[in-house]
Amino acid sequence: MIHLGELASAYLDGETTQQEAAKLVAHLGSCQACQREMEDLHAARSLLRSLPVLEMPESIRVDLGLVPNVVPLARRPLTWVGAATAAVMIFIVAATATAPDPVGLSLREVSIQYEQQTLIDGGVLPVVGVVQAGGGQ
Amino acid sequence: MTDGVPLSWEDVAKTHGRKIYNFAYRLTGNPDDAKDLAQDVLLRVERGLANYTPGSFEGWLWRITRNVFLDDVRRKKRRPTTALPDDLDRTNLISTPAPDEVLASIRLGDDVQKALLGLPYDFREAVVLCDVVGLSYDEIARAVAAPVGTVRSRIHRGRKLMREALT
Repeated sequence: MIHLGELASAYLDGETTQQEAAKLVAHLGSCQACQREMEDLHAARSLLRSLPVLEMPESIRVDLGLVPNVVPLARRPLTWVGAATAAVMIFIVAATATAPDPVGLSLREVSIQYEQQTLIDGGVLPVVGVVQAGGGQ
Repeated sequence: MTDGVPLSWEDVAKTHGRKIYNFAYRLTGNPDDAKDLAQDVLLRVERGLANYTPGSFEGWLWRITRNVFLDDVRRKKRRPTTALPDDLDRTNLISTPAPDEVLASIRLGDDVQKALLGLPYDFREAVVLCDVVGLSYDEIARAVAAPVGTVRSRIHRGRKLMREALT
């Protein structure tokens, strides 16, 4: 007896001719082995088709430049945060260059000098007082 | 779209990107490789779209996809099978049903993926194109440059091996 073989999978996929389908149905009615094989193939096909569908990672669109309004970090204009940070850095460098050598000064004295410098320059740097532990007198 | 042909590369990415990524993921079992492959395919589509002559767009696209995958295999000189990573990329799952269902589905999905990776490449490719991507036998035949009868045989044998591996 000739069994169904690959005709069985093709039938499940609707990829047989009418003649093939008729032959298959007639054979299935009298062949338990082919009925079992048909069930196995159907189960395997169902499992494959039930695999979860994954979304394409957004990073692919970003990398390919397909996402609008996404500018690589290096090309972004300075935001106010970036500008403020730059201003602060410039101020610190300038203050350090013009301030007297703090060697020998206490932390409190250094702090007071920076506060005074800030007032003179009208800088935007928020001054955080530095107080020696247990000091102040 | 005109006659099933996307007008632009962006359209291809939008309409076929997910399928390309899933094809790559199911063939490699690895999210990083799948991402690289999908990206390469889209870049190659961008270059090739200008020279595309109307015909079977699906066949053309999947032939490119397949060639990118095989080129990568040759470049890395590896068998077109990689082990399933322990930490599958589950963050990209599209649907999120109840937690129990998700867990059961993931476990089952892992088993199916492992069985898939154990198939010889030709069989794996055929069942993925048929059951994951959803191509017809004719489209698969064009994509893999093989007769329809060969495709039919590969799908059948691939499913039989899957069933044996999962029982």
